[in-house]
Parts: sequence; C-alpha cells; structure tokens
Amino acid sequence: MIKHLLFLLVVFKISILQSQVNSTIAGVIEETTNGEKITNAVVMVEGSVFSIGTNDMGEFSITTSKKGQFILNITAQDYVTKRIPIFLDGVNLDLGTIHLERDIIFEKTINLVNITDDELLDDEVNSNALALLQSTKDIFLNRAAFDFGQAFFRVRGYDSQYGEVYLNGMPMNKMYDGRPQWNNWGGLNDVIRNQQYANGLSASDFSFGGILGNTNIDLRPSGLRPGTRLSSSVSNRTYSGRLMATYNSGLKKDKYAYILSASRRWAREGYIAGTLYDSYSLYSSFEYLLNEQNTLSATAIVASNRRGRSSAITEEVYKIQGNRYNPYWGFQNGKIRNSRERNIREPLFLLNYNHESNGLVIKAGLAYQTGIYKRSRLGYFNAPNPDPTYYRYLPSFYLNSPIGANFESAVLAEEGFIQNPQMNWDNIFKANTSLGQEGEAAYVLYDDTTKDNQFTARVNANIDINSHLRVDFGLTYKHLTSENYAIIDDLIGAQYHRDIDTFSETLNDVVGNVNKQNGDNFNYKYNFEGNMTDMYAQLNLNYDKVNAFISGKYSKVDYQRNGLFQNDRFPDTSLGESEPIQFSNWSGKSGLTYNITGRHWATANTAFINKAPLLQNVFINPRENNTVVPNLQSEKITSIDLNYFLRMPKLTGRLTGFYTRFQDGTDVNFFFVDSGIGSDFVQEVLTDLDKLHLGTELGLEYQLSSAVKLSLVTSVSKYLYASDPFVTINFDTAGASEDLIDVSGSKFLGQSAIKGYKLAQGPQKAIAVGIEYRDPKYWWVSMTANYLANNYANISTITRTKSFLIDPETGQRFPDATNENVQKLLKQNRLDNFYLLNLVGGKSWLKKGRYFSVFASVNNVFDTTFRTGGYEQSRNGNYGQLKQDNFSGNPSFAPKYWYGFGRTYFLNMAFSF
Amino acid sequence: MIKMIFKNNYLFKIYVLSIMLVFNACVKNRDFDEPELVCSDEDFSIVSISELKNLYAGETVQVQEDWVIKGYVVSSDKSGNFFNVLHFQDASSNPTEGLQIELELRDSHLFFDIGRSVFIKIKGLYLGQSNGLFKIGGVFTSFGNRSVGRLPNSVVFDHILLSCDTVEKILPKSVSILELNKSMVNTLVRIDNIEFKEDEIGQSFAVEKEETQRTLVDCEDNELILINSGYSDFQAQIIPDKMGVATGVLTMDKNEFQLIIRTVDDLDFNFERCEELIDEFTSTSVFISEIADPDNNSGARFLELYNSSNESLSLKGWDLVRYTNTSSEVSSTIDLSDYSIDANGLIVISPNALEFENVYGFLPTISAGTNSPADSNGDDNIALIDPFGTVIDIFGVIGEDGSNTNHEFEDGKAVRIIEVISGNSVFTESEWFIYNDTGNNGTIDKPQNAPFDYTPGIR
Repeated sequence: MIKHLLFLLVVFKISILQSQVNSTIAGVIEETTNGEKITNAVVMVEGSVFSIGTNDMGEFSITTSKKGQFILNITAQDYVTKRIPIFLDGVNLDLGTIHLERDIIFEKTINLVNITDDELLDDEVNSNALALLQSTKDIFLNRAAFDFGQAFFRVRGYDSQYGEVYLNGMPMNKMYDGRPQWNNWGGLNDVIRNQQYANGLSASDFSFGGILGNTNIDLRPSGLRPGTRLSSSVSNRTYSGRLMATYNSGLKKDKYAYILSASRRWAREGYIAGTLYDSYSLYSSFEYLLNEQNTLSATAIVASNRRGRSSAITEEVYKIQGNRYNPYWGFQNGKIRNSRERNIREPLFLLNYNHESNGLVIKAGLAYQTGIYKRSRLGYFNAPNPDPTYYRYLPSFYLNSPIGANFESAVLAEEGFIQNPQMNWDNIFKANTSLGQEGEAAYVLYDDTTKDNQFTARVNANIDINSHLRVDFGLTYKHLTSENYAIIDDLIGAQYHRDIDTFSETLNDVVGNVNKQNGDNFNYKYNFEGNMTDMYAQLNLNYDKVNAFISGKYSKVDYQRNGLFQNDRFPDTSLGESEPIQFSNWSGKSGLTYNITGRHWATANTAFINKAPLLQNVFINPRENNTVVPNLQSEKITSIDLNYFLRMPKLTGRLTGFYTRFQDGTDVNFFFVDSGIGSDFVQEVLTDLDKLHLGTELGLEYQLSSAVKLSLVTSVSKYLYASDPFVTINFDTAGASEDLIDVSGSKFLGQSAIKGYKLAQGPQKAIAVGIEYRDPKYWWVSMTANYLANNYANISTITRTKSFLIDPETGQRFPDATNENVQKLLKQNRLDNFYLLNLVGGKSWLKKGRYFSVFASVNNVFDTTFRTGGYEQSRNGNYGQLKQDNFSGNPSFAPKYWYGFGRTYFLNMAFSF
Repeated sequence: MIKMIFKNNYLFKIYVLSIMLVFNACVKNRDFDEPELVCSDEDFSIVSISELKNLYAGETVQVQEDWVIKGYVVSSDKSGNFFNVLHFQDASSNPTEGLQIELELRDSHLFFDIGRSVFIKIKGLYLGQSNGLFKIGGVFTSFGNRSVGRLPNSVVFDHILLSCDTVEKILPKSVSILELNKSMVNTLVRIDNIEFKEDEIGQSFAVEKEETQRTLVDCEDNELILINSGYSDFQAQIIPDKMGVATGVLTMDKNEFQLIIRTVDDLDFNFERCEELIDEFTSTSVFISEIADPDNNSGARFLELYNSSNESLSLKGWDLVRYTNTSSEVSSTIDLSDYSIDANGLIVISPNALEFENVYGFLPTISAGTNSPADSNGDDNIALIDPFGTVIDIFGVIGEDGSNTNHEFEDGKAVRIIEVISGNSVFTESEWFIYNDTGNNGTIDKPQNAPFDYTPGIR
C-alpha cells in the first residue's frame, strides 16, 4: 500500500467508513489501456487527511462531511496522478470508472538515485539528503532532487543528519555522524520505491523526526508490483553501466510473497578521472501473512560499494588540469590505480511484524547490521609526498618563493605538471624496494577501517481513539559496537612497515611488534560503544477546518571509547576505556493546519529539539587518546515553518517560510597550521557554535493543457554562523619541546569572530523554470533551466581567532595587521553563480502486459563549469603568512573546491512483465 | 524464458545488444601486480661532464644542447646530511670528474641508491658555477643574478633516468688532504689517518638546525673542513675522538675543499689519535736578567731575558706576565711564541721602541705595548711562564705591591746577579741587585738614569 501523502500533517488511513458523514464518493479505478483493475490506488479529497485504498476489485468509496468545491486525488504506484474537481453538497457521487494512465515518468524517479546517492564527493565533506526526496510529488522537492542536486543544493541548507530514514520502520541514521548511509541499499532502486515522506517539521506517523524530513521505505513484497523487471543503463556520470533485475512473486496462496533483486553498477572511471565504480547489491525479502491483519517479514540486504574517490582542488590546479582532474590515481602496469578508494559493505538483516486492524497499526522490528566501511590511503613515511598537487610541486610554490617570484621555475613546474599529472606508482614501488630501505616500507597502502555491529529494536504504534483523535508512539533501542583501526592493504614491494609516528619518532603500538606486515593493524586501534534509547508520543487532532498535532520525545545516549593500542605520545590516555559520556534530552514539536477552503490551506509548525552531540564530535582525537571535548553540550535546535498550500484544478503549489537556529554546537576538525603561536598538526575544537538558517521556498505547477505542464521553483535563503564560537587547539607534546605551542598539549584561542559569515551548505539561492510535454503516444520530454547562486566555501575558524594577528617570530601583533587589512584578507568569497539546463525524456511501449521503456537524460546541456563547494585551508594560520601567500595572486594554500560535472548523459532501458 | 517472451521482437534484440555493450566493461580489483622497475637501457650518446662544463662561460646558462650525461650516484640523503641535492661521478671507480644536481625532491635516496647509474638529460637544465663548484639543476634569480636552483619536482624524473645496470659499488678514491684537487670535487674520496681537531672534541656534529663546520686534521696537521647539516639524523651525536678513515663527497666553498659524509658510518675512526708533533720546549735556563724604570725617562723602560744554556731555544708557547701592584690576576701578557733566544743570548723587550732606540742607540728585540710586563713603574710583579704553564722565573711576590719592599725598583732597576744561571719560581732577594728611590729592606736607595746606569743587551 503506497501512501504518497505529502504535505499532509498527519497521514491517516481508515478502512471503514464513518456513518455520520454527508457525502459518499464512489468509483472503480482501471488502467486505461487494458482495463485492468488497479487495486493499490489511494483516493483522497485534497485538503483533508483521509485517504482510502481501492479493494481487490479496484473499487473505492470515500465519505466526507466537507462541502463545496474540492479535488479528488487518485494516486497509484507507477500511474499518473489523477485530480478530479468535484462539488460536495451532501449528495452522494458515483464517478463510475476512472482510468489511470501508466506513468512513463516514473523511470525518472527510479533513476534519481543515480544523481544523488552517488555523490561525487566524500561523504565526510558533503552530504545532501536529496535521495530522501525521491518519492515526493512536491514540485519544489522534485526540483531540489533532480535539478539542484547536481550543484549540491541542500533543502533549507540542512545536513542530511537532520533527515531520518527508516527501512520497514527501522531507523538507519548512523550513530557516528547521524547520517543515513544510502550505499547500504544502493542499486536496489526497484525495491525501495515504496516510500512515505514527511516534509520538514510536519508530523510523521512513524517517528518524532528530524527537522529536514523523514522517509520510511517499505520494503515488503506486498507493497510492490508483482512481476519481473529488468533494466540496464549506460551513463558517463559516476558509473558507466548498471544492470538490475527484480522478481516479485506477488501474493501466493494468499499466504506469502517474496522478492529477489540484484543489481550491479560499474565503471573503470566516472566523469571525474580515476574514479572507479564497483558495486553489487542483493536483496531478498519474504513476507508471510499470518492472517488479514498480521504479517511477518524477513529481509536481507547485501550491498557492496567500492568507489575511487576524488579530491577538491585549488583554482591553480583547476586552471591547469580542468574540472575532471583527480590527483589520487596513477597508472600501474597500464591500469588505473586509485590510492583512495572507499569500500562500504554493511549487510543488513531485518525482521518485521506488522499489525493493521480497525484503528490500530503496530509495527515492530529487529535489525542487525554488520560490516565494514573502509577508506584507503597511501601513507608515506620519511618519503616524499606522493600527491602530485602537493604545494611544493606546483608552479605557485615558485611564484610565492620568499626571495621573490621565480617565473622560470614556475613555468618548468607547470610543464612538468601537465606532463606528469598523476601519482607515480612505479616510483612508489621503486622507493619501497630501494636497497637502502632493506625491506622497510616508505609507502604503505592502508585502509582506515570502521567495523560496525549494530543491533536495533523498535516498536511503533498508531491508535485511532476516534475519528478526531489519534495517538502515535514509538520506542527505539540501538546498540553499536564499532571497531576502528588502520590495516595494511599493500606494502607495495616492501617487507614490513615500521610503525612509528615519523614526526615525533614515537611508537604507535608500544606493546605490539613495531614492524607490521600485510594485513596487520597499525597506527591506531580503538573501539566505540554507543547506546541510544528514544521514545516519542504524538497526539493528532483532525477536524474539518483544523488539524493539529503535538509530540514529545525523550532520548538517552551514551558513548565510550576503548583504546586497544597504547601509543608513546599519550601513554596514559591512549589505552583502555574512556569515561562514559551520557546525554539525556527532551524535545517537542507541534503544528497546526487551517483549511481555508478545500483548495487553500495553511500550516504552522514549530519544534524545539535537544540533540546529543554526534559520536564524531565527542572525542578530540579518538585515534590517539580518550580525551573528551570539555564541557560537551547538547545541540539546541529551534525551528519554525509556515506554509501555504494551493490546490486549484490547474494550478498547484506551496509557499513556505522557515527559520531555524542551531545553538551550542560542537565541531572537531584537524589540520596542520602555521599559527601565530606556533606550528603543529592540531585538532581544533569549536564549542558554543550557533548557526542560523532562514528563507523561503516556493513551488508552483501549472497545467497548461493536458499535455503541457509549466513549473516555477525558487529557494531564497540565508545560512549563517550566528555566534563567535570558542576555539581550542590540541596537539601531542612528544615532538621537540622547544617548538611546542604549549606544554599542556592544548591551547585555548578564545573566540573566532565568524558571526555573520555564510555557511557552506550549498547554493543559498536557487531558481528553476520547467516545461514538460507528455504526448498521448507514451513519450514525454521535459526541460528545466536552473539558476544557482550564493554558494560559499567553508571558512577556516582558526584564522578568525586573535592568534591570527600574532607574528610567531616576535610574539607581537603584526604591525600592518590593521583591522582593514585583516578584513580584506579574510573576506569570504562567494562562488560563481551559474545556470544549468537539463533535459529528460522517455518513451514506453506496452504490449500484452509486457512493458518496455527507454529513459534518457542530459544534464548540464551547455557544459557549464561550476563549483559545488569548497573549503579554506587552515595552513596559513597567521596574518603574515596568509598575506605573503596571497601576494602573487596564486596562493599555495588557496581554498580547495569541488567542481561539478560538465555535460553528462544517462540512458536507461527497462523491461517488465 | 525471456527469449520466449520476446520471440521475433526487435525490442529484445536491442535489449540484448545493450546488455552486451555494457557488460564488456569490468572493474579492476584491488590487487595489482608489482610494476616492472622502470629503467632506461637506451643507447644514449653520452657527453662527458667536462664537455658540459665547457658550456659555462662566466654565468649561469640554460643548456640548449640535447645532451645526455651519465653518472654514478655517490651521495644519499637517507641520514638527512644532504638535502635536495644529488652528487654523482663519471665512473664507479677512478672517476675523472663529478657533478651535482639540485632537486626539489626529499628523500631522493629512495629513488637513487648510492652506486646507481643514471642518465641525465641536460637539455633545459641550468649550468652554473660558484667559487669553483659546478652545479646543474633548475634556476632562481636573486637581485637580478641567476643561479642554479632546485629542479622542480614535476620534471625531476623526466630529466634523471635510472639506467638498467645493476647498482655498482663505488670505490672511493684514496687521497691525502694535500693531494686533493679540483677534479675530485663532487666525487667520493677516502682519506686515511684523519681525526677531528683536538679543541673540537666533545662537540656534536652540528648545532641543531644550523649548517656547522667541523675540522678534520691528518697526522701532519693538514686541515680539511667537514660540513654537517643541523637537520641530519646524527646532528646531536658527539664527534668521534679517535683517528681513522673518512669517506665522503668532496665539495668546495670559496676555493676551499670541504667534505660531506653520507652517514656517520663514513667516519671509521678506530685508531689511537696521531702522536703530537712536539715543538714546544721548556727550560729553566731562561730567566729575567734586567728590569728597568729609569728615573729620568719612563719611556726608556725595558725588560731583558737571558738564556744561560749553550743551545738556542724556541719560545713557542712562552708568556711573560705582569701582576700589577697588589693584583693576583694577570694584568697583561706578552706572547713570546714568535721568538727564540740564542745560546747565551739576550732578548730585550721595550714598551716604546722609538724612545728605546733614541736612548740606547739600538732597536729592542721585541716591542710590547704600554702597561705590558716590560713597562712596569717599579712596584709590579713579573713572571715568565713556559708552554706548559709552569712558572720558570719570577720577580716580586704576587699580590704584594712592591712599594717599600725588597722588590721595589721604582725609578731604578733590578739586575740579576751574574752568578745566577737559571730561573727561580720563587722570588729570592739575594739573586738581585735592586735600585730604587726608597732603599728599604736591603735595596739600594739610588735612583738610576738612562742610558748610563743601564746595560740592555749586555749581561
């Protein structure tokens, strides 16, 4: 049963009609071409919260007390939504047979994942939650997902941790970074189509929810179309080919149903050079109907995703190498070898129980997930940096020479960089087998590995007290054990790796053998334990003119680190258990809908949320020691949104205003810095960090004729830092003592004056106009023109502290560091605004129940080059150095940017029967 | 089954075709075979290093000739004593020439083992010379002058190719310090019987983060500078105090030869240090024979030494010191190292040679400064010290002002009794005739006048 009930505050389903209502609308729903009855359609009167499903004969009957002009909305999976204007005055309506057309655009939806879950970037850097939106029919969210997505637009500027994802009602957001990992079910597009989405602060009937929105993906076979579906795709985006096959048995003997699905995606390299793609996914689910009301299901998902990663690059590198350049790879024996692969394989097992009866829905489940998340890296130990974009290798190094620009060498360096742009694996092998090394590795290819085991139990219930009142509640418990270590993947010709920190010449593993072999853990090893319990309760009220809800949540989180390696830098705090960290928090939210008429309504929602810090921001340097961020605080989120909905027969739309304040945030970053008070590799801890997101969203869709639809979507927002957070830097004290910034191993730098700087959360302004033509002969095309603006690179916070003004040579303020000069140097530069034109089209054939379709899209038709985001490097941590580095106009430590794809295509062919 | 459904259907054909199209791509797994070692066995026509050096015509030039030179690597930055430079010579043994190339490449030893032969494509590189030392590499300009700088990293391996020959053992040329010549610069040399200079023993190889010079000496006291990096692994180690063999790359600065070692193992110092060359001697036959403070002319003061033995004596290491008035610290010193004293001969020391010549008619042997031990006003104490610090002779009592004592010679003189034939480390009144203007304690109250009351140069 699919419930595409967007924009409704409360999703409600009743199967028994109420007797006291005035009008009853009835009809039968059939497929246009072959007259097949559609049994899984959902019918509702727009502006109300009631919806009803069709029965086995395709019949429906819906009763309402409403009076006046309304629109009857009929949706069914894979069919075009039908909107029929009706007039209600207490008289029963029989609409007879209503024909639904097969939706030939759903191929677009099913292929959305191609754009979003295959983010070009590191998850660490970018995480937009657009895959979350794939099921929505809201025109704004649609544009956000399909068109703005390629420019890393984020809805309301939120990180994906603020949107919750559930599979069969089981929460999927990770404890470490709060984000759902879409790769855990990537490629299984056929079986994740049955999605229920609650947008923004609106109430969801399966969760208290995050402020971005919440999706529940119903994986059960009974909710999906029976039959077989095969599809194959070619593209030049992240993968070059994809094959998917799915078989759904349909309900057998009224007792059980099962689905098998498999997919494979691959590329030797994607749009960005050297980014291989190697992924397969397997899915099986078995559902058993105990009786009409109770079902059990068991589901297993194994999705393996191996990707070659790419790097953000400076403008200097971009100008020489272009937007497809990636320094992480090089040829080895004529084959591409990427030094930074990401490999995710975290199989997931679900057991679910579902009860649906008169006025009562109960969903209970157990989930177990295990597996690995690996990121490879090429470590270098007393060896030259293998990265061809290392600053000493680039032309700017010569232009920024302290004794004056060296143009001849800059030219030579540029010629060499053009000639030899990639990593040199032959040299790396040569170094590791060099006679003088006597078997010791200079370079080691290793995997930073996280091996999680997570157990989740959950129960959720929706109870209809009467036709006006419903209560939802849920209880969740999660337990996580996470092993974290580096493991040697390849010694690249060497015999062993000497596991010491080369900067301080100290042991990483005091107890273990100093020389490590292939497959050994080295560098660091520790476990995280986490427990999370939360419960929520929600009260929903429904009347003709007014709907309202209020909900509250209590959550309890605890974390602990357990060090398994003792290192020489932190002999007392590296090994063993940290203090346990505990948080318990209350949150509340509430909303009100006022139905002006059946075609106009307005809603207001507000939330106050206390959110425990993410595991990733609790420990300052978990690879090395147990130290916890001092005075760790829960983040406080205050959010409000106001929405106006329009549902005219031809014109539909939504206008939203939102305001969200994040307070008392904590963030941990690490980098090498030459600061005013010394140089070191530091962990920077930000506390009392406030952020402000406010703006408007507009989506309008106009049905010009039965074939042509026009749309306009805008997002005009501001995402800002709203406080001057406190900055502390931390470092180890094992190095040469005379150069230490502070013998205590940490230094408080005071506040960072970043209030008012823009957040790097994607374009803050986005406008799209679209036109769609749908031919009665089963083909369609659509075109959108998009304008994306006001995007900013992430700022460095340490350069906005007072330490930036201090000359490390004298310990005094730089004489020329006047407020004016400093402001000029630290001005935040906006990324260029740009236009993108996207084209999509498709055609389908239906013959004797067999369905064949072709879908094609071309993104960025004009091959516009654009930057999707970036970040300032923190290396130049003092005024003098930053000024000197910027003097030539070609800084060595310039901001690094991610570049978007140029013109790309995607072509899909699908066959189902 | 699919085929059955699609029988005679063109869609099916397209479908199968498309699947086949996409299937022929497969992704490389993570296991890679070891790469072949990239080396060059091309038959380059090799140009000699001296031919290359001939291109140098007084200033740094970019080489335009499409030339290749061959070299055997002799330096290594594994211990950090070399930095961003590679030294090579034209043969693994008995080289005739060497050269160095400056590179923007750290830890170059990983790629260029000692003894590895390399081909260097010269075209586009810069050639320069400073203070007799030839270099190739990149370029930098400072105050309008071009010099050889580091070759940018991105072109290093375009210019330096490893040859496919196996690594050969470099046989360092065995030479003595005196045999060093310019053709050996940038080659590996071996010097036997060498040690660190005595007064540097106990010091570290280099001051932290500073390039530091230490001095090697051979048993004949010939010196050679050893250059050590303040960033090397062995910078803090104490230099060895024994003698032995030093191997290193010969280099040059300001036309002075210098040696750079690759690792501390390049110093094989296991033997007892060289025997001292003895050229300092002591003798009690030298002593003070006359000290003068003329009443009529303080400019005519002098001090006279006598050698009573029948052999002349080098005074290398000898000092004459003065303790002024009550001082127990040395107030002034005359270093006598440059002088010798003849058998039964005399040395006359004057603080005012011009006046001395006026008064006495001849030049003093040594001209010392005013306030020197030869310029006493009669109440100071004066001692003669041998090279080993022993007091050989003394006039007066240290710490006691001579006024009104038995060692006052103010306005007079102190003359050694003729019978005295050796110095005495204890002042003995009876060895002297002392004239002054007070006459206390057995001295003679009779001020003396120059020149007639004095006998400089005569015993």
